[in-house]
Amino acid sequence: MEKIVKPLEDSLSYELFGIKFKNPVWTASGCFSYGLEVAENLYDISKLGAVVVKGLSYKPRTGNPPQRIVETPAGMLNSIGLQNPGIEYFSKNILPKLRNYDTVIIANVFGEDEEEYLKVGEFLDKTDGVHALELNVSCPNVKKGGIAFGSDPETLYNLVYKLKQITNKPLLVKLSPNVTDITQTAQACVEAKADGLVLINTLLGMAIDVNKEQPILATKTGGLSGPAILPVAVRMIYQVFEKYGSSIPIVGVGGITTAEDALQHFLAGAVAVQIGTANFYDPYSPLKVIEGLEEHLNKKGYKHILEIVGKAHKLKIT
Amino acid sequence: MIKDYKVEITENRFISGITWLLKFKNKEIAEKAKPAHFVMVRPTSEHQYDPMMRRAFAIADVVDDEIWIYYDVYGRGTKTLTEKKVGDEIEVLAPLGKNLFPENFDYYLLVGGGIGFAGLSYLMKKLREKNKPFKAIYGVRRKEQLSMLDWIKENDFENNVIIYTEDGSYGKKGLVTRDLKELALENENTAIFTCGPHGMMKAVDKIAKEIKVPCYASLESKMACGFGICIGCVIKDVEKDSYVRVCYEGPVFDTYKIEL
Ligand SMILES: Cc1cc2nc3c(=O)[nH]c(=O)nc-3n(C[C@H](O)[C@H](O)[C@H](O)COP(=O)(O)OP(=O)(O)OC[C@H]3O[C@@H](n4cnc5c(N)ncnc54)[C@H](O)[C@@H]3O)c2cc1C
Ligand SMILES: Cc1cc2nc3c(=O)[nH]c(=O)nc-3n(C[C@H](O)[C@H](O)[C@H](O)COP(=O)(O)O)c2cc1C
Ligand code: FES
Repeated sequence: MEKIVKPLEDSLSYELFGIKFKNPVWTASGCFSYGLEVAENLYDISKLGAVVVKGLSYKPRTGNPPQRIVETPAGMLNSIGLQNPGIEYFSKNILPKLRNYDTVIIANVFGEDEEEYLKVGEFLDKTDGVHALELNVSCPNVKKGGIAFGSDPETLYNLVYKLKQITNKPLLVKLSPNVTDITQTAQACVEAKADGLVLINTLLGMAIDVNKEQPILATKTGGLSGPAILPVAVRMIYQVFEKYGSSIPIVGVGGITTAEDALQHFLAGAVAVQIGTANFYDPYSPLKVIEGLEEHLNKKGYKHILEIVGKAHKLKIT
Repeated sequence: MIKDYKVEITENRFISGITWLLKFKNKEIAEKAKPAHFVMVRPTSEHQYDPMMRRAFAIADVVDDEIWIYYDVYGRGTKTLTEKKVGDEIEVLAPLGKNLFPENFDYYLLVGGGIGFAGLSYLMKKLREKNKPFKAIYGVRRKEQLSMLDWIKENDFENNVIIYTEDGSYGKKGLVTRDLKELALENENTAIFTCGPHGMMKAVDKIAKEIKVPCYASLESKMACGFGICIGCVIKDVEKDSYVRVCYEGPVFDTYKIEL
């Protein structure tokens, strides 16, 4: 672990990809807008380890028609359709305000085809204030691109490889759970020299209105998130850490509301976690997780969070 | 500023039809609350995730430090809410909504359908306080659905409210739109403010446009967060040709600028 992450004095802080993080708790893309709504209305987002902004494409996108969200048992489906104002608007009108807060800013990016991905990468490489890129290759909502990049290791390798040529910023790849074997797409990213992996995006699902006798979401299917997917995320982090844990940092996302949920991600092999859906029903959840992690380390007598990363693997029963 | 408050329930009881009344005390929310503001109530306790999402409700009234919410019981969230007892703590995110009712008119015609009337009731109080002339139309299908009738009486609003029932079981028989045209044209510089079922608001909007009277609707939508971060609750803004958030760019919209 020490090779890729350098612990700093505070028990939750470290240097990763040459960036200093005050803690390992980030907010997940699409579940925090561009950070300003919370910053201006709810709490000081400088307390967060990082903010991963809502997915950005080269051109603005109007997104999907409503109904875009529906609650499911201990979770929800969404089909926002990656509505966003485009990178130019973001960098001119949103980023300057976001930069006033002392936190790491990570841009979640996507394109409808390889060309758009590369254009976004090129633009953000030159954009001051964006510390790192998170490649969204797994959003199941966009018919044209998304899904293919995230499920075919060869296409993914090519995309990541080309992006690494055009940007010097740390490039994280957010993997789709909608595959048979997550270690194959993870391997493609490791080989293409991605700087980090983010696991997992939403699981493809559907909900049907039994009175109207038709799917509830306008796009019929949507991405499942929330507490319901916690064990899926933990399992996938565990599998990828087992194979590539010493060569690439893993960021865990999926189903986290509390510090206890986050601890499962760390123990499975994540060096950082992202909070998504919990922001909706428990807006202070990221702050509670930070506090809870500190308490847990104290209680267990650990000096640093990195001591527990991947620890569940050492308890293998043979 | 928006805050997530832990509040103690002071009353939670069945009123009529499928409607319940929930009250809780909180000085800060009471001070900040304005007409058209809403709150997101977590139906479960902390660390219980099913039902998971908060439910959105209009602030129907503020009496001293007490917030009143009238809620219709449909699904798992509101059913869970009915099980809460006086003294139980609930989490309430408030106050929500950025764009509220405009105040630059000489006469206000409020049109509320069903539980949508709860989205206009606090406005009635504020209009009276400010000595602004108004009338309110309150329409439902049947008499049992007039869940805010007692509130109207207790607050001496009987002369300001015209009631319509579709089956004629109370008040005038018909839809809220029955006499809307005439009422909206009675006074100069009138605006229509509406809140209720989607179909009703569409009909109100149609009439407003026919007679060229300004019309503002306080909208509902499926909301996951209520404060702008999920982009789930959108409606089409025809001027900007883009989707805007009901919770953050609303809940009140000029109906001439949106696709209802
Ligand atoms: C800004 C805003 C203010 C609101 N103010 C109020 C208010 O003051 N009082 C109030 O009662 N409601 C109000 N609502 C609507 C309220 O939020 C929903 O009715 C509530 O979330 C439904 O939750 P549930 O658990 O009963 O149903 P869910 O579990 O969400 O849904 C169960 C089933 O009921 C159906 N259903 C849900 N809501 C409605 C509905 N409103 N009408 C018809 N069918 C429905 C669903 O489609 C689904 O099939 C408001 C909504 C918004 C966005
Ligand atoms: C409403 C919503 C919008 C999302 N938008 C994006 C997005 O734009 N880009 C992305 O990579 N992931 C997006 N996600 C996925 C989340 O970032 C996260 O990976 C997923 O929800 C699982 O985490 P959770 O269970 O904590 O929510 C979105 C999720 C939700 C619920
Ligand atoms: S409910 Fe989340 S943006 Fe409006």
